[in-house]
Amino acid sequence: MTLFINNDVVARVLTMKDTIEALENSYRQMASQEAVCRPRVDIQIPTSDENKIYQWGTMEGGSQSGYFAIRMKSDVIYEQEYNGVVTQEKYCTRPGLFCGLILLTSTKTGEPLAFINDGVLQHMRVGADGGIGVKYMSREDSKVVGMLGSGGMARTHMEAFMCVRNLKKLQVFSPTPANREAFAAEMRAKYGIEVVVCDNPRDVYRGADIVAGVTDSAVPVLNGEWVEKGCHVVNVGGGGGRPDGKTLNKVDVYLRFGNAPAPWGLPEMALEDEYITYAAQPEFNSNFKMKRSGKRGHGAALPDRMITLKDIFSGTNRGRTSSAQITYSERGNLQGAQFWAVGAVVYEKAKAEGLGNEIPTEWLLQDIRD
Amino acid sequence: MTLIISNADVEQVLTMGDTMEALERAYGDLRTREAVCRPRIDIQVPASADGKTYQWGTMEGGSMRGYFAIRMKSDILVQEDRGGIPTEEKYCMRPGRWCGLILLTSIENAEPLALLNDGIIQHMRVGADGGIGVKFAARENAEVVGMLGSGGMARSHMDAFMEVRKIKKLQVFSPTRANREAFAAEMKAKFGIEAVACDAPEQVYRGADILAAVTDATEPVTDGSLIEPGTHIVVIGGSGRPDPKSVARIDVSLRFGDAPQPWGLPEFGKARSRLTYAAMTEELAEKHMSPDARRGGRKALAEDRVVWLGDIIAGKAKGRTSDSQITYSERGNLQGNQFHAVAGRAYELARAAGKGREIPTEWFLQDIRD
Repeated sequence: MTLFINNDVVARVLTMKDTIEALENSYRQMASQEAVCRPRVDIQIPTSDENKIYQWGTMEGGSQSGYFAIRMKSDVIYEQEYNGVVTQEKYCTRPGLFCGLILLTSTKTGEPLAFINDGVLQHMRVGADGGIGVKYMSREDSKVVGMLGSGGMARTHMEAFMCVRNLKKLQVFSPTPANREAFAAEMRAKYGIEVVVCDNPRDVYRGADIVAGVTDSAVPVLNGEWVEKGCHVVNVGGGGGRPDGKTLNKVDVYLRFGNAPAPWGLPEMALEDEYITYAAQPEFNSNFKMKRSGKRGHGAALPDRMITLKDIFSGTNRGRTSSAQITYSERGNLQGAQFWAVGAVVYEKAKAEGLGNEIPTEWLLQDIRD
Repeated sequence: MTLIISNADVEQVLTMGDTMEALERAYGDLRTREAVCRPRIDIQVPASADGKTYQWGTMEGGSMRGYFAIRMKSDILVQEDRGGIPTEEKYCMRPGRWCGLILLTSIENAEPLALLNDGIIQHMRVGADGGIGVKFAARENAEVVGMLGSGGMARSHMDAFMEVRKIKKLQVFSPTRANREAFAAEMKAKFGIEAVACDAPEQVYRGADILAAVTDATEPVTDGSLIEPGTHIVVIGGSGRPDPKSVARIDVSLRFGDAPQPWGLPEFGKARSRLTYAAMTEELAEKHMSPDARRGGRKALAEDRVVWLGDIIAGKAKGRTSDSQITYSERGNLQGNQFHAVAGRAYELARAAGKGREIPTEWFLQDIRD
């Protein structure tokens, strides 16, 4: 039987500790060529509504250790401006619903093992990457987290940070007072740490050992002027997923987890780009601010200050070399290496506990060869 | 509800005529950029120590006419020597079973509409391409088909050839006598034509107006020294190529088109039959990857003699310009542009006929945003 595993099941069986472990294992395998992934590929097609575009996006990869996965997203996307703030909106079939699916297969037999809704896993894998960055780059004695944002990604990042450092204090700001208050209360109760709700972004940075920008803003939310010495910086969402220029200027060591390899036999097609986009109607300009028509995805942020996880794993570089350095970590275009690893954990646990809906695997197989 | 559509469903509703019409329209739409696709991408992972390889392969594309589709294959490959002819065997889970799936979505609301087994569609679309090549490049009065191969692809090619030319005679060779004789008898009964099972491959070429090599051999099976003037050549299968002597004799090479370049990456627009990302070292690749994959796929054949299908349809070019020319047709790397068109049509027909199994669309959707 092939399983359909929904977000409730994923939330029940997947821990942040498992996620971090699974991802680190995958990144090690990427470094030794036991695992592989390719860059994210998006397809864009204008819909009959000129303000909306259909976007299909996939990430994929697999490993000799037994699993392959493709993550597929199928959404109608558009942008909205509210009080001068641009956000990307999306839905599948109707607003409030989204389509993100992982298909997990066996690299030993080819079997289609499971379809997994990607919502919970998506937040976990992004948070876990934040945690892996902190594990290898932040000061061992990091105690204070400064956080911009109080949504789902803020929650998974706190969970990941708690897994890898002995944190004592959180300082959080987000634009809506009720949201940041609620988040603070939740973190206080969950981790028993001191939580300070800031009424301006400036205060988040004071004494912070880790600063995390975790919002869906269309523009960078970090402000490099306020980043203090010894700080480790994490940023997701917000202006193409990058910190502001001032923060980048102050970074001493930049950890990029790695890149997808080149396709076999085509070294000239090695790519650092976050995504590749094929679009119908190349002349059509969506005027989107977050993903601009005709533009490439970004590559390595700071090539001159860059190290990779491969360098750290092989012992050729130890990352931070002084407690005064400012460090920054991001994944690179390895997204495809994440879903087989985390999906496998979810699948094995769900199966062991008898969770998920079943359909006959025979429906997905056939007796006609291509 | 999302439909699961089996090969039996597709076989009952989809005709070769439908398939050819859908494909011709999709090729025209790609030319005007109302449709889009990207090249085939494979992921390869060693599956066992004795040389088996897991191969995941996808093709994808969509059109402003309304559908997007990804075709996914999940198989174990085994390189085998069949009586001196190297062939590629494959299976999913157990010999005799394969996994090839098409996920069809709507570009208007992103809804996952159907999962289709790809067996019948795969044969139909490849056969249809053979037929489209014949339609635009074979002599108008072509009536004799020489065929190497007697499997499923031989059948779909005959279906397609019969749609576009008044074929009177088939000459077929394949290594197993019983297979070629059964195929000849079947074609004779089905189309009321003369059908000769040949004892040697060279007999196939004599007087043939169309030569079709439709086998799964991994090396070229055609013999260019036997091809007569005026012949149109179609080749599919493991090697997907005519032998060098045939290539040298081709006067006109009809190419249907290629995947467009992605945003900002013109070097990705250079047509390759596929891109392979592999989880293996050079040493393992010797054992696990086919020569074609190791080379990075194939480039366009006889590039100096290429005529584009779009230019012929637009009246800007001619295929064959004399009866004595030897012509050849191949698709180009626009496989991804085939499945939204053909699976979209099959979906409409299956739905109208009340075919397919239903599973809840909710299983594919979620209320968590990424």
